[in-house]
Amino acid sequence: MSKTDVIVIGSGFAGLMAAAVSVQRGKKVKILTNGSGSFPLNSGLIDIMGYPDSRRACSSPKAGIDILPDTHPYKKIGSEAIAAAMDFFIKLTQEEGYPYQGSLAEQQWVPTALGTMKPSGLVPKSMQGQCCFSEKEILVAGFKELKDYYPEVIIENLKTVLGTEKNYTACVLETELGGGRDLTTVDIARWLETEAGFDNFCRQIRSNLPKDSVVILPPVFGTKPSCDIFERLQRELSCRFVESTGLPPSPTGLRLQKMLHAYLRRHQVEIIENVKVMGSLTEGRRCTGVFVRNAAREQLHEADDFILATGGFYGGGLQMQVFGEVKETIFSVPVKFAATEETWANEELISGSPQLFAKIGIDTDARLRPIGTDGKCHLENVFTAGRNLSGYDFCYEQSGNGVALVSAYQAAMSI
Amino acid sequence: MGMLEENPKAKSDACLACTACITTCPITAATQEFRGPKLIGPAQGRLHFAEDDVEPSIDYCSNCKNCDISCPSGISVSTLNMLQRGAYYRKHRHPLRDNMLAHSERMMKLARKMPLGVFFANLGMEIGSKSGMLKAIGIAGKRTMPKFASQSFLQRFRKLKQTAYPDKVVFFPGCYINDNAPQVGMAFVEVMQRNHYEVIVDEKFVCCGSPLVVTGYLDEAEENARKNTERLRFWREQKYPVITCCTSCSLMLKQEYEELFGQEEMHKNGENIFDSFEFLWSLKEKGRLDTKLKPLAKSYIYHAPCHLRVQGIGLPALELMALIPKLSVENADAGCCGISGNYGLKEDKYEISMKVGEDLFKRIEGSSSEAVLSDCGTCRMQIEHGTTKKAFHPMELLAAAYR
Repeated sequence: MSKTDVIVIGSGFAGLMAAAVSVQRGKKVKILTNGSGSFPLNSGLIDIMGYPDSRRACSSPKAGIDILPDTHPYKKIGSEAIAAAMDFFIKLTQEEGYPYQGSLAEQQWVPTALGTMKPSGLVPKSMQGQCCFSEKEILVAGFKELKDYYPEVIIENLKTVLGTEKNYTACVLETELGGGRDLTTVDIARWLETEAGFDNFCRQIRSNLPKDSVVILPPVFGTKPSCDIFERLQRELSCRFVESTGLPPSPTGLRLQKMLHAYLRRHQVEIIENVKVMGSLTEGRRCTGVFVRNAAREQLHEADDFILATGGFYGGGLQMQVFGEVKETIFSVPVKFAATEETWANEELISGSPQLFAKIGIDTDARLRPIGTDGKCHLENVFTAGRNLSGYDFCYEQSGNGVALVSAYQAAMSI
Repeated sequence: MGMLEENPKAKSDACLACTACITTCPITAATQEFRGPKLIGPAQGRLHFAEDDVEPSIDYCSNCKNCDISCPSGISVSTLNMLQRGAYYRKHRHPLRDNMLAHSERMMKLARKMPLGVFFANLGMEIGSKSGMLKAIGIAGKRTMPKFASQSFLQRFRKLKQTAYPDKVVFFPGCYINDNAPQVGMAFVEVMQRNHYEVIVDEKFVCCGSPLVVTGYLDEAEENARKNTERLRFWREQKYPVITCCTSCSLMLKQEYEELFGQEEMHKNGENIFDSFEFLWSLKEKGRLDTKLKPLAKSYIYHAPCHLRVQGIGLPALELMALIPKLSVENADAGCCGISGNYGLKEDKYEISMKVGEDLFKRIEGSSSEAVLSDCGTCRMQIEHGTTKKAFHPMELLAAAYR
């Protein structure tokens, strides 16, 4: 295959962002990907920092980042690059016509499918839930046959966050989609993309709508990165809509994915699908190429620089067959396992406490190059981005997508 | 279904239920009736010991393989589906329509032996279509059935005088090129001759088996695989690469034989099989490709077949087209065309097939390109049916640039 400037391994959020930043810097970029990333499980929100050290949300992402330990990726990268990464992303979303909003100075609040309000960093227009605090009329709409989205439960929980003095109404809408499978928010989002579905939805919501309401509903305003359905509804029904987070598969995650793919397509980034990167070719402390396995054989892809965005244990970027021996298989980067059989996991999954295994990952220098056994960078031209980095627990902290965005930016800017 | 346990790529238990395949599946997007690849392949695959447990919506899977492309755990979801469909039809009767769609090779071999056989085969299709007979047996009435060429590729190739060269490749024409698009095969021979290769066509090859697999004739497909595997071994031992211009044939020979029938040898043979543009690109990298190409001041839009995308070799035709001076080729990148071999030819799948192709059709109609390029014969057929533009194999263009 023809040699390129930058090879990005992985097409999850970190990989696609690393490619976007690299191509913006004038590099010729190729992505090698095995699978299409975990976007169906992705809320589409860019959480920067919600809970750095306790179950009390920090007042702003910046305040949270300030108190993080030095081992956290944000601390290695520094606040200037964090702000620049957020700016880059906001500009990209504006260019693509699906703008996100947010800043380091304040949390963005988004309702969840459980009826809590979660802090986030960068949020698409249709998910901005600040109005839930100020408005008096709240309508929560679910859909008949949509599992795990129960307006009554959501309202009970919302009352504890937003107060009992508001007027809460629940309603259940029908799609009449029928068919032989469980209904998902993706199905409803596709239905709303049709004229018939849109009209039907408007008719039903209008008959349930108290004046000046905020309408909270699952993420169903289309599968494409566009505000059309959201804006048209607000215009035609003169009320405020807020999409909450929902259960997988997630239309808002898919919108994020489609937006980034559209951006990369316009900037001529090449994506080689369905290849598994097996190993690398090195000369001294430089990598010259990676070997992939395709349908029939192995093939070498060469580049000047490489960005490793293969994910953590879930994405397959890190593997542990023998307890305590964590492996990164492409560049054989050493991964420390600073835990014991007693401490590596907190048995209570939903306990509100962090998980030690979540912090296991690749140690890097400030430019995000993995550190080798001798304490120097493992390879001079290999950079790391996303979930395979050590030192953060995105679930506990609520920094999902945030660390991915910022590390992708830093990795691409370090080349 | 022994393969399910033995082949790591087909392992149900590696499925994390992440739903990537469901959101990528074009059939799931087009109809609520399909329960989706995850629930059919990996989930139902785990129940294969329960003999009579059949998921009825398995019939909707088109084997387009977008689920395999999307799967982060490297599972060949579509192959699990095909194994289950095959198991179902071991115990149930096939509809007449599937019998016909699966066995076009057999039919055309007979027709070509008879005087005016091809004429009558085409006439039969036309009468069948106009009289509603095809529709009555379940073949899409709104479709123009692919026309059979008056002379097959093999018939034309036998008459061709090639220049002999020490470097040789074996060409696997496949049914569509042999019977419907022989000009693509002839263009391939022309291109290889220009690059000082002699082309061998092995008449002992049979249909790769792809149409049999998707209609659930798994035992017959295995029989074809056995016959072809013998020949592929022979050519591997001679060290002659085997090349196809059909992306479904190459996928079957490279990868699906091993996934479906699980013999070690099939993997070894797979390493000797190349998509035509994959092979030409490898020549380019060795400095062995003749790059004296005539300028072609034309603009095309390229559609990458799903069965090419799943091969993990990128889009080699698109890379090679960039070498032709003055030629402009844009990548449609608009997903599956919807035909999936013989899937879209079925009356009850026609609407789904056209709905799947909608994005691609719009993309093509909205482009200023004068015509379409695609490496797959049935994709080209679907594109010509769904748009106002003509579609060609990129090999036809490359041959023209050498003339």
